Order: sequence, then C-alpha cells, then structure tokens
Amino acid sequence: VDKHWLRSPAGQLSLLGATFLAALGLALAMATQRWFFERYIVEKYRALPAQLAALPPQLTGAEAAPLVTALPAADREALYEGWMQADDWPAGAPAALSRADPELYLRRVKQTLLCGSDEQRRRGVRFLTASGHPEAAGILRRTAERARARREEAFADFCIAAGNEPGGTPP
Amino acid sequence: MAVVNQLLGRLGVNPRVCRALVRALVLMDLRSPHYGRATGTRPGEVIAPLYWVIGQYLFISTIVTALLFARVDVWAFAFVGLALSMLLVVNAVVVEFNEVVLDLEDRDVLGPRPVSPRTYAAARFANLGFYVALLTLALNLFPAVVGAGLRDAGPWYLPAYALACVLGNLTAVALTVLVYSLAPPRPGRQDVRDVLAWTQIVLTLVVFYGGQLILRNASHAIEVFLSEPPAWFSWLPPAWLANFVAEAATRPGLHLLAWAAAAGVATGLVAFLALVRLARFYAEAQPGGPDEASAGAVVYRPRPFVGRLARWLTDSRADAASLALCLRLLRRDHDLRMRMLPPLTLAIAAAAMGLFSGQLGNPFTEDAALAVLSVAAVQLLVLAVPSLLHQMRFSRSHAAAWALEVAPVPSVRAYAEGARLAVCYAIALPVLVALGVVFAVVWRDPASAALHCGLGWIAVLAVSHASVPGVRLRIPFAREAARGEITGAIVPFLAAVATVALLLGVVELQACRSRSPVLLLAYALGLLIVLRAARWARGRAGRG
Repeated sequence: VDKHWLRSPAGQLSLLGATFLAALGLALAMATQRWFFERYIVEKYRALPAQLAALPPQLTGAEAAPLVTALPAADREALYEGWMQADDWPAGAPAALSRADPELYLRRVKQTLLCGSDEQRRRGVRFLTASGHPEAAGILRRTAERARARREEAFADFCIAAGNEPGGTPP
Repeated sequence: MAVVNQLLGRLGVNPRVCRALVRALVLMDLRSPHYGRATGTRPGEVIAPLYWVIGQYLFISTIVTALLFARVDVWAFAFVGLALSMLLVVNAVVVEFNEVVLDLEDRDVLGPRPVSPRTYAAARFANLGFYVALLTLALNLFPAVVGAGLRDAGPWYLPAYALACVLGNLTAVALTVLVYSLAPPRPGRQDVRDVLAWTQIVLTLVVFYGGQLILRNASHAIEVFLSEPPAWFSWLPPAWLANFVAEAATRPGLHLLAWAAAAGVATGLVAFLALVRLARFYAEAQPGGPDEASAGAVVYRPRPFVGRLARWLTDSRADAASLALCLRLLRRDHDLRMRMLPPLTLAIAAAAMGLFSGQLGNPFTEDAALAVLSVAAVQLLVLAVPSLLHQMRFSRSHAAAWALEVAPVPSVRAYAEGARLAVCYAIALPVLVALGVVFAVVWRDPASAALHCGLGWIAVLAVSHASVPGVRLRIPFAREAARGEITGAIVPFLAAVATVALLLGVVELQACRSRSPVLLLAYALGLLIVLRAARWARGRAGRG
C-alpha cells in the first residue's frame, strides 16, 4: 500500500470506507446468526439449599403457604429456582408459593418468560398456570402475544394450550 | 444543483462561497491531524486520529448491539441504539468539535473577505454535518443492520431505523449548537460546557454498568426494566423514535408516513433555527468586543508564582516553575479541566457500580468476587494517568509555547516533570483519596483502605514515569487540540498500560486472597521496584 496515498484525504476516506464495509459484513453475519446469540439467553439457577430440601414434599397446595411465608426472601427465591429444576415436586407447589409471596413469584416467572431459554419458558408457563393466581391469565396472554410477534408460533400455541388445560388459567 | 443554489440563495447563503468553504473545512478535518499545524508534519502516522475516534464509536455500538441482540424486543433494541447514538453524537460535538464550532479565530482570517455570516455559518454547519454523518454511520450501522435480524423485526425495520437515527442525531446536534450559542461569544467565558461534559460521565456509567448487568446480573435487571419501562420514558425523544421504529417493524402502515413527515419538518425547523443562531453568533463574534473581565476588574494582591507546595514536591527550581505553571493552567483553562474528566470516568463508574452491586468489598478480607471492583477502580485510575498526561500536551493557547521553548532552563525535561507531578498530585491523588474515603466507609476498615490506595499510589507514580515518553510529552500545552487527536492518538500505548494494569490487579487480588503478609509485602516491594525501574529508564531516556 502506498503510504503517501493512504495519508491523503482520498486515502483516509478510502480507509474509513473499507472499515465501514468490513463492519457491514460483520453486522450481516451477526444478523443472520441469531441462533448463536439465542444460545446465551438462559437463566442460571442455583441448587436448592440443603436446609430447604425437606420442604418441597410439604407444598401440596395453597394451604401450605405459611411454610413459605416464614422463610427469608432469599430462601423463597431459592424455592422457585428449585421448582424450575425438579420434576418431582407436588402439583400444588406453585399455588403454595404464589399464595405465600405473589409479588416475588410473579416477578420471577415474568423474568423467566423474558430471559429464559425455550425449555425454561415452558416451565415458567407451567408454573404460572398451576399457580392459580388471578394475574396469571393476563401474563399468559401477553406472553402469547409476544411469542406471536416474535414468530414463535409453537410457543404461543403452548401458552394457549397450557391455559386451557383442566385447572389451568385460560389466557 | 440549481434548486439547491436557489434554496441557499433564499436563505441568504452564497452557494459558491459556501461550497468552497465546506470543501476547505472538510479537507482540514482529514488533513489537520497530519499537516494542519504550521509547526510541521508528522509523516510517520498513517492512520488519522479521526479514524481512531470513528473506530471507537464503531466498537461501542458493536458491543452494545451484541449485548442486546435477540433479547427483549424490537422497541428496546431500537431505543437503546438510538439513545446511545444521540448521546454519543452530542458528546462528540461537546468534547471534540467544540473547538471548531466556537472558534473565533476564523473571523480574523475571513473577516476582511466578502463572506457573509450566514454563508460562513452554513459552511460550518455543513462541515459539522460531515463529521456527524461519519459518527452517525459508525454508531448506527450495527443496530440498523443487526436489528433487522430480530425475531420481531419486519422488512420495514431497516429503513425506519435509518430515518429515525438521522432525524434524532440531526435534532440533537442542532439543539447542542443552539445551547452552545446561547450566551454572547466572549473570550474566556464560562458556558454550558460544564453541564454538558457530565453527559459523558453519565453515559459511561450507563454503558459500563448496564453492560455488566446484562452479562453478570442474575436478576436480568436491564432486560426486565426495558421490557416494562416506567411511564416517564415515553417523554424521552429516543422513545418517540423507538415507537416509530417498532411500529414500522411490526405493524407497518400509511399512518407512519405522516409521522415521518412531521418529524422531518420538526428536525428541519430545529436545524434551520440552529443555522440562523450560528450565523448571528458569528456575526456577534467581532474582534475587539468588550471583555467581561475588564468590566468588573478586581485588584488581586500579587503572590509568588511558585508556591510552597510546588517547591516542596520538586527537586529543582525549573521543575517547581513548571509544576506551578501546570497547576495554574489547570485552574485557569476551562477546556483543559473538561478534557481531564473523561479519563477519570471509568474509575468513578467502577466504584459506583461496586456500590450498587455490592462488589466493592475489602480485597484483604473478602472473596475476590466481592472485591473485584475495589481493585478495578484503583487500576482504572492507574490506567487514566497516560490519558491525563496526554491531555497536558494540548491547549487553546498553544501558540504561546514558544516562551517555554526559549526559556533558560537546563533541560526541557523539567517541563514534562512539572506536568507529571501536576497530574499525579493535583488530579490522581485527590481521586485516590476520595476512593480511599469511600473504601474506608464501606469496609469500616481505614487501615485496609489506606493500604489498598497506597499500593495504587505507587502504581500511579510508576505509570506516570513510563507515560511521559509513552505519550511523547516534551513541552506541555504546546499543541492545538485538533479534533480526533485528543482521544485517538495514544490508543496503542493505552492498550499496553491497560495490560499492565490488568496484570497488577490480578496479582493484587491473588496476593490479597492468599491472606499471606509475605505475599502482600512481595507485591508492594515489586511495585516499588517497578517504580524505581521506571524512574531509572526515564532518566536514561532523558539523558539520551
């Protein structure tokens, strides 16, 4: 490369143009590789603390809420993360948790629906429908709308179907 | 072309003169870093400083785009991209380009020539447009193109975003020019730059802290916040533009054309007002106007130029005189003080982020994860030292540097030493002390805070010695603050210092983590050896 030409206004403008062209190439590559970025959209959950290990089997329904209310906020959040990772909790556990601290658990499930992986979001929908909370239907409806806008038809259908299940909360 | 000429003529602008001026100004934009100063050319530099500035903005937008891509929704993505673009463009105008917009010296050159104020203002505005167009492209290329790949972005996203960023940046720049020219132009006046300069600090905090939140915060605070922004967000101009982009991307319709037309007219109106105001501003800037200092003259009791502090901190009379000069210019030169703020922002942002996120722990007693930002804040201050020294090379009154060139001092090394001491003792030390106070309060352990900051102080001194030759500081205040050069020219040296600062931070964290007094002592001794070596190497280089 002729350094004298490169130092000239034409050379400097060409250098800027080449940089912008390279940036355009990188931007196009990023725009077409969305799957790569979506791999990193996932929530990280801690394992259920040992002192809470005996609690899940007792969360059989909304009447078990006082067991959760007595816990500190960090432990209550740990229960949500524990539920998201386990399949053997009683079916009434989400209802017990939501009754005990609706603000925390609704905020937490909304966060999962926004920032979780596909699998985590489906579990979040399950939690929501099983919670029986009055606000669950609205959240489910907005989640389905967002999924349709994002062209995630399968997930939107899943939200609708989950809400229409027996005992669920229709969106 | 005839239509443009006719339009310019109706605006009171001479098209031929305007085009000639624009061509000259754009040429200066590109050439001044290499050829513009009468003091000589620097043929060794192939890359213009302006290129580095454009590269920095391109880099910032790439990082922010990568952080937000595929998250939340198209509105949030467009909002962040547009807000960042508008803020950074205003910031660039304030920090880099204000010397040119407010430069009164052009009137001395063009005054005797038949150039009407309106023509000159139009040329300046077009030149500003060229600079802003480069920055706009750098800041919006990634959000515009990558955003088109969002799940909820339709085919109209790209044109809508392109229109929104052009309208937003044009309006922001025009408003900045209007604010700048509010007060009558007088030399040495204090204007709104104090307020605007804080934009950069706030922005750095937002980008630095926000990026960390997205990557590290388990509660995904930024994404949750952007998914349900507070009601007052709807009053922000970037939110209006993001609404337009999101609407065009998801539900395009003819009603958006009316919105775009209205926004275009509003932008044109603001740009026209700025043009008119700029023309009047330059018309008022006639040489020989009243000096506000002479209006209310105050009689000061004369004091010795070199004070006790300068004598105490230095080894020779020449060093003391140089230090006194640097301290005086730091007090007097408003632009210099403003340029000193940006290098300090990262250290302040790291400390603020640590306070917010609970990671400003005591590295001597707590886990590394909880204390990482305590170490980072000090190391970022160390990293700021080369930039601060670099700023000491520039001054609005650079033409007066001949007085230093011909002054009867034994060696010009004294000038650089004075600038180094001013940066260390007048800027870095007060910030380090402030950090130490914060650490002492947060840790409730003043001894640990003093030790931590003491180690940082040794690193500051060592890096300051290495930076004098690194930033090629010979005679302070001898160079004009050319656009692009203020931030761009020392990037390679900064990268080297950043590596050293990172290494020092890791070693300090490991030494603290070990809880071993022997290792801590070894680290402190190592720093002292590095300081001694840096002083020795600089002394040799100076003699050479």
